[in-house]
Amino acid sequence: MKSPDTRRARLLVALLSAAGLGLAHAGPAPAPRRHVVEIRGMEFHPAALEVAPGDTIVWVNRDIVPHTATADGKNGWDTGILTPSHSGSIVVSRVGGSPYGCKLHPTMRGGVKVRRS
Amino acid sequence: MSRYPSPALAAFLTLAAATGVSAQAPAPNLSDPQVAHVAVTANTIDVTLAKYAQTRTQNTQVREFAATMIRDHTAVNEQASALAGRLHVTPQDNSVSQSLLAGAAQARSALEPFKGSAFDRGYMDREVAYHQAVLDALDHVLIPAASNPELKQLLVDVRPAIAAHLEHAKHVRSGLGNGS
Ligand SMILES: [Cu+2]
Repeated sequence: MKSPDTRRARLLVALLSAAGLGLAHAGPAPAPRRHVVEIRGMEFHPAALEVAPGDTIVWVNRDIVPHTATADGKNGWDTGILTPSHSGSIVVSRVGGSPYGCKLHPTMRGGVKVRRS
Repeated sequence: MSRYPSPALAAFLTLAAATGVSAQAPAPNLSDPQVAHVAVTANTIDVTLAKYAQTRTQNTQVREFAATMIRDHTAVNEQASALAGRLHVTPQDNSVSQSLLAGAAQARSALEPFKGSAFDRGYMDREVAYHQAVLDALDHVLIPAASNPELKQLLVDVRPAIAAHLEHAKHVRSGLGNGS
């Protein structure tokens, strides 16, 4: 979970960067984005997502049963159990990405592609 | 198979068949309190059998399936109870609920003698048949019968979960093979 403070800091960095106020980057870094995936009807909407490192992905459970969003493989990210009307998020750390699913419902599948923007 | 006079009756008979009760009665016209009772009963039955299966199975996939049934059907019943409270609807017992309960008791005693992988196959067979029957009942009996829009919407919202459970059950069942 990203705290509001982190989000504010990132936003500030993004604004400063956009205004060209003395950041060390060669080019302006694109502002991190926030992507929302809704879980409803036992599906991820959208099921396929393209993001950049530093972006945040939020999964909102609009269903009436609990779900997770869990990357395939052993050491991937995992929102943990999201009860109805709760949400969980991850901050994307590196290029690559992963297919993912709900640990509780094997029929639910999604994918995240991470590329530098 | 003889020809059924209506899809609703066919669904009701499917439900009765899957639950092991022979149905003489036609598909009843259920009131909202009765629809609510059937929905709660159907969820409770699956929770109860899943809890029983967890005491009997050694198989990881079957155990996880049972855990999902307990978690999901409990969650649905919490929402159903909350809705019933909000709408001042007191669920009312009826013949469909009774036949579901009778079928559940029969399914449970049919499973009792089995052990190990034979139990797993029996439990998963029952879960495939049960979720198919509940899906048919939702489509042909419960959703059409519900008159309160919120009750109808809850049933519509439950449907994808039941459909996913059915696919999950089929997947686990096919992984168990057919024994020797
Ligand atoms: Cu799920």
